Amino acid sequence: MSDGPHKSLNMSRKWKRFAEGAANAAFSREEVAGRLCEGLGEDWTAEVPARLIAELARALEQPEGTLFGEHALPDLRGLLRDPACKGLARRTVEYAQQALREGKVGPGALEGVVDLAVKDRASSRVAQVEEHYLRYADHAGAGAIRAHAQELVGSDAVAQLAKNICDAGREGPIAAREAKRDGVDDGVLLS
Amino acid sequence: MSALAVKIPVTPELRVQVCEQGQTALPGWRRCEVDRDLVFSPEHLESYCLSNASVVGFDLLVLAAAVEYCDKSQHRPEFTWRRQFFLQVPVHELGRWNRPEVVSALEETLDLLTGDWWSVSFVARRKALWGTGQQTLDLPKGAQAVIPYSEGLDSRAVSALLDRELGQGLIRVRMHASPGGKKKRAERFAAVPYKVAAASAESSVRSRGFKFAMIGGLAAHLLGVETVYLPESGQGALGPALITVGQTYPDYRNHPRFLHLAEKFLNALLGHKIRFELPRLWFTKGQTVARYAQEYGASASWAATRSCWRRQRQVSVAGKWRQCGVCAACQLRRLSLHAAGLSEAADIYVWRDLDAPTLAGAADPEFKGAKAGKASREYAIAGVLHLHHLAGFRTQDRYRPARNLAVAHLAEALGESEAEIRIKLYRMLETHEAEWEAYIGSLAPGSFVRKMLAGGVR
Repeated sequence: MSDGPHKSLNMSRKWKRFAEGAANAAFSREEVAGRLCEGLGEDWTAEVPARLIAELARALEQPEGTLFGEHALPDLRGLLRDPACKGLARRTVEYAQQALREGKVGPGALEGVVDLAVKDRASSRVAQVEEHYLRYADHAGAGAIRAHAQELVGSDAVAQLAKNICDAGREGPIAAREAKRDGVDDGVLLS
Repeated sequence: MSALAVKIPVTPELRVQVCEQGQTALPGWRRCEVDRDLVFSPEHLESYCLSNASVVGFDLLVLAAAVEYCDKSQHRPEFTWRRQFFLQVPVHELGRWNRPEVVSALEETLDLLTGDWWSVSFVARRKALWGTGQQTLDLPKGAQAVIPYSEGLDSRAVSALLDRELGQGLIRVRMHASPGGKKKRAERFAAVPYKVAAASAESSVRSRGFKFAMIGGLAAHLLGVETVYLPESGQGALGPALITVGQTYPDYRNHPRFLHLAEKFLNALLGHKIRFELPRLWFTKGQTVARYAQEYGASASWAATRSCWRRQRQVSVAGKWRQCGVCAACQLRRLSLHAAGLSEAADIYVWRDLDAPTLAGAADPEFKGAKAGKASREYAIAGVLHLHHLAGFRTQDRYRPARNLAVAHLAEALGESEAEIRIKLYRMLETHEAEWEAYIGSLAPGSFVRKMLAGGVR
């Protein structure tokens, strides 16, 4: 009934960094959410063609109450057949189709769609890291991630990432490097 | 957001040309030959009663085999999922296959099912494979519907339940040769009539769903019936699409979305309405098994079914092929039998004692393999987490986007309102939650399964 474990665990360096911070009490929730966003930004760049945002904006950012939305559905269906639209792009198009069917067009519609797609992927990535801890580390780490899963997926940082993706259009993710924080003297950043 | 140079992974591409004997492939295309790479069994083909009037059936089988060949031959990228396939298949009736509605429905079906990008083209066969003589047809009379049939628990239970309604009208299409090796002369649709001899570069093999749907659809077409029943219950049909991990693509192999597209393709190709139905979609496997046991009493033969996908060499004890007991399929089986109030003999599984504090301690003492081998441990973790996350899908806020999208997709595929679908889906998931909680609660507090879920169960 499933692929088994073999298809889910390969993680890029960014996702390993997220995993490293996710169950480490030396990292603040904000820092962990920041690392989650770095990984999500990398996923977006790798799987979503730069032109997708502009194409979705054309379909979604119509005045509310117009009938344009329904007309845009075939265009979105065509995007699903675009070889450049990989997993996350495909999922984003599916959320856009849903928004159009529900008449959710107008200002903010695009941001709403990208927000859903990014949160959806964040949830899958958090599950992956939970599995990673059970495989390679300890039950406590997996439990900590499970306990904070919703907080991470629903964090302001993830919502901001969706907004940034929409605003930036063609641009890639922010990747400000953080110092490694696993020593005795390292702790949560004081603001 | 500032730009950063992120290396965009290259999408792997494979071009496969199905060739006739002696034919060379186009430059840059991999040659795939019928009878060398796609090996058909004359005996099993005979059981399909194909005739000159149904050459499209043979071409459909070649297509399904070629899709499997592609799927197994190209490894998925390390950090993403998608691959690109170009596939060329020779067919007897080019006009039938080359219609835009056939090609687009096929490509859409394969894209959705596998998460890859497919471009499929057809060319006329140089030499008709089919003989000129008319085959003697010996198809069962009075057929009303077909059901692809495996050794699994759902297959056994659902086909028996449908027998009550349809009697001899339900025709079984075997997905595995019948055990025992003896060919039953009168048995039709006795096995998948081909084997694919591709190097196994990729293990996910999402195209399995295409194979089962095409073979079921072909059997329905040959029998002149409309309905193909699929035996999967709710957790198995929907769970793998609802719960994704990391970069994996949703698994739609028994999902109404895929089946709806497969119907569209078959209807366009065959000019014959084929309808896939999942009669136990809104029930858990536990409910399905319970109903089977209730209706059939002592004659219910669920104990002899097999749920585990793992191979004989991996999970044998004293020369006997067992089920592993810890992979997702085995855990769902154990959960379902627990929910149905049924119990199994201890020697069904290699990892038999789920109350043990460690996976190694759970193994049968006579098991000579690695008692807590890396692969088995990983299967156990993936299986437990999958069923656990499915138990949280209805209520946890992190799944809200995926939940609403799933409802919309199911409503579209099944032609029902989102409100109706939401009620049915949530009812099934709520039952799964209760069954899962009771199952986990039945294990010893120190069980290795319970330990995996420590520190925040919900």
